[in-house]
Amino acid sequence: MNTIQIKKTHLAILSLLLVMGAAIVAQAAAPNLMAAFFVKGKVGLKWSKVDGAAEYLVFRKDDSGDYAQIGSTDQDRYFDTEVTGGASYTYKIAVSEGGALVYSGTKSVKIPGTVGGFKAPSWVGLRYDRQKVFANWDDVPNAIAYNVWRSTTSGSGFEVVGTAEASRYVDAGSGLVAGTTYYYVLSAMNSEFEETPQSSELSIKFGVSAAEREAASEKVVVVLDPVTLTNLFEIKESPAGEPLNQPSDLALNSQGNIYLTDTLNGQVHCYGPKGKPKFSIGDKMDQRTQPADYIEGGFLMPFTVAIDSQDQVYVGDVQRNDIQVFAADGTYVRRIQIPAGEGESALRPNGLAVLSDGRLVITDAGNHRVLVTDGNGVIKQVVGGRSLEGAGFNFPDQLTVSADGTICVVDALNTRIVEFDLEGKFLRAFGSAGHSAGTFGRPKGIAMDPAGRIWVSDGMSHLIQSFTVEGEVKSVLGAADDEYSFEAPRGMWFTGDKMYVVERLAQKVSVFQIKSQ
Amino acid sequence: MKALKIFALACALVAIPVVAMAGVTGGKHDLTGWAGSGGAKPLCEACHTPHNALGDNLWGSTVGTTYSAVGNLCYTCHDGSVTTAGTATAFNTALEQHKVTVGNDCSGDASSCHDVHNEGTGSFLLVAIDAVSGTYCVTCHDDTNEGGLGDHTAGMEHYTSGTTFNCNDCHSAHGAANQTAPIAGLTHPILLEDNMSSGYGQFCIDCHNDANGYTIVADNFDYNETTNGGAETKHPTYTTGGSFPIGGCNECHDVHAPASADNGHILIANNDDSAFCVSCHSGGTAPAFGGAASHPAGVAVASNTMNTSAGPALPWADQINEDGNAGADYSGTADFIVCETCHSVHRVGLATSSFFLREDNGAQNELCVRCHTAN
Repeated sequence: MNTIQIKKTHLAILSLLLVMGAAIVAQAAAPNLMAAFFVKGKVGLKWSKVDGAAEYLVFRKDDSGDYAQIGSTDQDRYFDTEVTGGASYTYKIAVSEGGALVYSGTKSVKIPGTVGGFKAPSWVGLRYDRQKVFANWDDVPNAIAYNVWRSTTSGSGFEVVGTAEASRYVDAGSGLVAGTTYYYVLSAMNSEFEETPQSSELSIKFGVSAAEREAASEKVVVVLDPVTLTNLFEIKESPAGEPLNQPSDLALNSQGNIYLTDTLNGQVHCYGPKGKPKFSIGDKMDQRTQPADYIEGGFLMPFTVAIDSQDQVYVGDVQRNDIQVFAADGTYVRRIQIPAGEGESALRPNGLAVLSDGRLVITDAGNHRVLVTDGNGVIKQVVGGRSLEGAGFNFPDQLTVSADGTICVVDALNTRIVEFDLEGKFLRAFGSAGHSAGTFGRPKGIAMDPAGRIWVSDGMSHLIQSFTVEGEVKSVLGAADDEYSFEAPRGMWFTGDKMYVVERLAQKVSVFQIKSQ
Repeated sequence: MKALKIFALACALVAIPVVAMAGVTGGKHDLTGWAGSGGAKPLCEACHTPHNALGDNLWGSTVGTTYSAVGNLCYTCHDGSVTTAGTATAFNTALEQHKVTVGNDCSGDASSCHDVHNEGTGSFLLVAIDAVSGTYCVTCHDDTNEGGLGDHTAGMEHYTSGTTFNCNDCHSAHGAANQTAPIAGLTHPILLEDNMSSGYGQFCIDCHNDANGYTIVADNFDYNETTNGGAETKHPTYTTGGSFPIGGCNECHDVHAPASADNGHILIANNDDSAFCVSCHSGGTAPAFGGAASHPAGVAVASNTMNTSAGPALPWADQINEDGNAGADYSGTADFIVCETCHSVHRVGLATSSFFLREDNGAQNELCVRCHTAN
């Protein structure tokens, strides 16, 4: 009896299980939507696969609307990227069975809007430079990280390309194509890993296509005046027949005689107008000679030379820290000293000019200034002081003075030319660091041609360039494809159609006939 | 492990510019960031150019024909325009400079001497100063690193001023004198003066003369004597060379040699019983003395009949004392006659004698009879 009852009980249970099983089997035709979650600016959906289902349809509705299909996939997951901050969405998944749709259950997601001031980032900007895109945005309060999204299509197709902890990101550009416009949006995450909606969109063109670069380069080409040089002669030896040793500067007197500072040989040499050696001035002193033992006419490092209206020769020595004056025949005349003031360095006369009234204009590299003195070295005007800009200097080098009294100074380590008047009023500056026309590496010498153009030699680029007084570059000499090149050019002089160039490391003076075509 | 290496490399790459900047900031090579400059310009751009650089290591300089990219860049300031430091010496291409292993690169290479980014070492030197000698030279020129460079320090006998020395007494790394000819094969001895201008060690005799007291010999025979028609000049340059080379002091002496009982007077080789003399005077690099057909050397004096009444006895092998200091020069065999029994390479004796004889042999063979009796 008991046995039968047990069997009936078992059958009842079995029947119940069969019914339940049939029900389960029947329900298995619909996907089971297991999760819907918001992350990284999109809603992720996950469901169980249905045997035999080739496609799953994704439906969504917001608070006020009806369900609408937003996509389909053959996978068991889907990301809804088209979401709006602050909205609530409900999702369900459907499969087609016998021409009818079988729906999963639903899941709802609240899209974060602002969470205690936690909102989408605001752009500062995008910048392209050397194969990278630099993105900057404002800090978002409470944000612990930011997602950076990129797309090639405005408004859609964004993918996260990186995460930043600070409000900046550098897209190294792997796989990016020059000339393509890329669109970026941002999102921020807080410590709860809630993510803001995406920010507004910003776009930038990555790099420049070859065609655009070519077109652009055509636009920036500086039209230079063609200049023809004809080498007339060179000076390589002292009147004693010794090789020059790093000559620095030269000047011509009224007779066309050339006075050249032979710096490391410690002398000034005089040559005729065609380079014929005539005589030498001064004696080289031992480098260890103390100031008390300096001799009249002795040199340690004669660096610059100028000639006054009486053909007197002024020689600035950057090691003796003085200027000595000689007659045209080399006879010693006098010494000009400008004692250093308190806290000042000793005078280092890198450049020198004598005005028609006998005043001297001196670049004092030791104190980063230009001095205007009377003929005895009494300071009348001081211009500059060390500065990276404006009317100051950072190691001024040579100078030249135009007929109208404009003083043009090489501001060597600021890689520019500074112009001011004799009253010390700053007029203008031009030039910057670089290797292209109109820029400088280490400008050294400066001279003005009879037409009033400024010529600047460059000891780093080994070029000589000409400019208008306003700073517009007009010609470049010594480029790689030029017939003549220069080696550490420094002092220059122009007279008539002749250009004189001192090439320090070539140990020579080159004299050219120069023609502008 | 590989990851660790990559991490270490990455750290090094990051650290290099950081360390370099730290070594430049506020120093002599900080040309844009001085106090009060406002830092408007990047520290590095005085020398480097971040874009479109023309040289290695982002140099802003093109390669010059005289210096390498680095040297040329250095010269753009050290030409006297920004500083005169080194203008007349290190950048004086007319003078001899210390050899460097990479072109004329003076800085930025591991084998170079200078580190432009580190002023703290003094003179931006990459090498450390030696506490004993007070020079930077022993960093390379010591017994550890002598390979190819020579051990110029360990126990050096020449000019020791006690136990210390200073390379700069004779050498200058920059702006040294050019040499008329290589010295013992050295093309860059970087000496303060040309030691080969007269073919006999002019720089040596600047010290080794009567005026300075560093005479070679004790009897005031001047190694640099110009009287007597220069007859007191010195071996081996006394000869005009002929078919044999004319050398300087270094032909026999090595100024960097350590003190040695075997090779006294910083001789290159042992000259006991005239072995070193014979090494040249065998017809190879100097006239042959004739060997067995010549006056015997290395024979016992006692086996000969000697005349000691005509004057002082000539020195035997163990009695030669050219400088008059510290006893015998060589550990020769007692009572042996050797080359220097009759000859004095530094002319101890008559100034005008021929063949460096200690005395003029004259018409009566006076020198001969100093030993050999007339009968």
